[in-house]
Amino acid sequence: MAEKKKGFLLDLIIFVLAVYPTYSAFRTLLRCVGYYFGNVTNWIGIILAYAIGTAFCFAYFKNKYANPASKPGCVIFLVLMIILEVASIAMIIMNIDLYLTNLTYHSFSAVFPFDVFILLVSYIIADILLIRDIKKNHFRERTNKGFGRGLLRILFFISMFLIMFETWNFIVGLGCLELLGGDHAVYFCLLMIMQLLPLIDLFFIYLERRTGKFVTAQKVMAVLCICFVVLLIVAQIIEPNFMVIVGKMFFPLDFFGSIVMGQVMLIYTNLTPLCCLIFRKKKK
Amino acid sequence: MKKALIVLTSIVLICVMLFTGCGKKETHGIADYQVKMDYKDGFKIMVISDVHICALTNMRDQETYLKHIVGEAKPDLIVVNGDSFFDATKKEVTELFEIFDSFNIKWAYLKGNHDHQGEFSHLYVDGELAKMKNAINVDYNDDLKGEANFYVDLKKGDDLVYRLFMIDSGSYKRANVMKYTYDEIDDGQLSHVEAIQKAETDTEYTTLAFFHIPLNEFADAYEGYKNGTYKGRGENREDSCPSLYNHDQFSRLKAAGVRAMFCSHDHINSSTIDYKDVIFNYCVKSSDQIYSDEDMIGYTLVTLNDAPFTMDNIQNIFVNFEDVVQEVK
Repeated sequence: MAEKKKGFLLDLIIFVLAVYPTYSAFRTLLRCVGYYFGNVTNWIGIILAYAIGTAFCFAYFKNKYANPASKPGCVIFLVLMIILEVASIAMIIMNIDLYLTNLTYHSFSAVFPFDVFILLVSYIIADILLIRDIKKNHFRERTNKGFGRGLLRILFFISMFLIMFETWNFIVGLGCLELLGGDHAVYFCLLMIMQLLPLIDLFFIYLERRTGKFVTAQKVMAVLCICFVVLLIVAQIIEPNFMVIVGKMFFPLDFFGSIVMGQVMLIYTNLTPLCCLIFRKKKK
Repeated sequence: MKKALIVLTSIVLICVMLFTGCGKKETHGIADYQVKMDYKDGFKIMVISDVHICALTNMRDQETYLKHIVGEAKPDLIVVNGDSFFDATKKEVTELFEIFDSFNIKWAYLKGNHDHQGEFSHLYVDGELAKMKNAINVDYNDDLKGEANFYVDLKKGDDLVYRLFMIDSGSYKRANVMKYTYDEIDDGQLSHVEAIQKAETDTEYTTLAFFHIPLNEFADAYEGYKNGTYKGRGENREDSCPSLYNHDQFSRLKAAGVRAMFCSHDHINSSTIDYKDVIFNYCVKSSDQIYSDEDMIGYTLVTLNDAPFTMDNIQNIFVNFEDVVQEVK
């Protein structure tokens, strides 16, 4: 029981820790895209440092809930991560002047990479733990049901990636609560809820896959998510531009490329519970 | 199943009511949108555009450059003509506004298509703007689209000499299920301008309009200028990117007496063209952020005097960004 609890806690910590670098890697990369990659040499070290966190997280969950890695696989992953970490540190050192300029401007700047330094230290710890596992030939056998097979598994991991992004979006939204006093408060609430629901649902799916017991709340979640998808479509009909008014902070890619992607993402992640239910029934 | 359908329908109906019912609008008279300033011969309006401050921007360089060009122009009014931000955070919004406010010159802030594209809401921007002592923006929770829909009257005594319309040309608009397009100055805003002009008893004044996204006619004007149909100067190095929509903005603004229109949006365009008795000016981009041409960064200076307003009143001035920043360093 204690082992199970420990395992759950570790999963939770790794997921939560991966949310921030995943979001930041994507957003920083996007900012470089916005500049037609003109400034990418300044920021690639930081993007890389964030992306390593995502890679660690996905490798961990893949190992535990999909295919457990072989020893050579583990060694290759470790070597690759070390190379990327060294490259990231080298590129950050090369651009340290730029970051220092921002540090000394008025106040601590959001772009001075303190967070990246903390992340890099945590990666080094992760590397050491991985080396220890490899030395001890300590590889897990999968003891849980795992996250589906084939295409379903791929779709699940895509969904997990998007949910990570939405989770941080939700946190960004918490910093914009002044919108609750505006004309489009209901639309803002809709977006906030739709970004939180998939995370809750992911938790239920995770519980089911881990323990093998079906959680009834998953059914309720599926109905709720479908209701919200319907509401999103209704909102779109009533106010076609609500995303422009209250969704710009959440979905920058939409407005970089003038393509509607945010809503597609919301619908996709909110339909995941339904898919899981359908596939679960088919299995029976 | 029947029960579930009833519940689902009820939820949808309640939400439809909520979606459509929210937001009480205020009603304001025309005079409430007016900002008065004293006119003098040689009154200078400086237009700063497309600064595009991002979360990755080196703010110190931007501040150095802005200080330099404002010091060089010595304007009486600064018009920030949109796209001041580009995926910035709250921190950059406050910092940039503080920089503008630190010049101790009245400034008007217009939004562009990229301005709300960051980790903050439009209400945060409005709140920060309201804190600035030199910002002259007037904004109400009214039926008019966008935030900046006010006008600045430059008066000599009781006489109106110049009227400057600040118009919010919006950002994006849903074009179809999968695409957005640039927004436009809509019918309500045009009627607002027409009503203001109609209510004015003074007749001997010149009207200028500032907005971010160009009208469709800007492209025609440049083509006409290139083939010699219209008089002009300067060059456009990229195609105009107006909205796909056209509500006769040009003809209605012209009929309302607008003599010159100032837009930004296209970073490497800086033409000034006399098109069908209305002057079109592409304002110069004022930073090196996003894409820009080294020799096409600077500002636009509009000098007002008692003589009739012509293209000679407008100067697109180029100041090399790197030179300024390096010189200070």
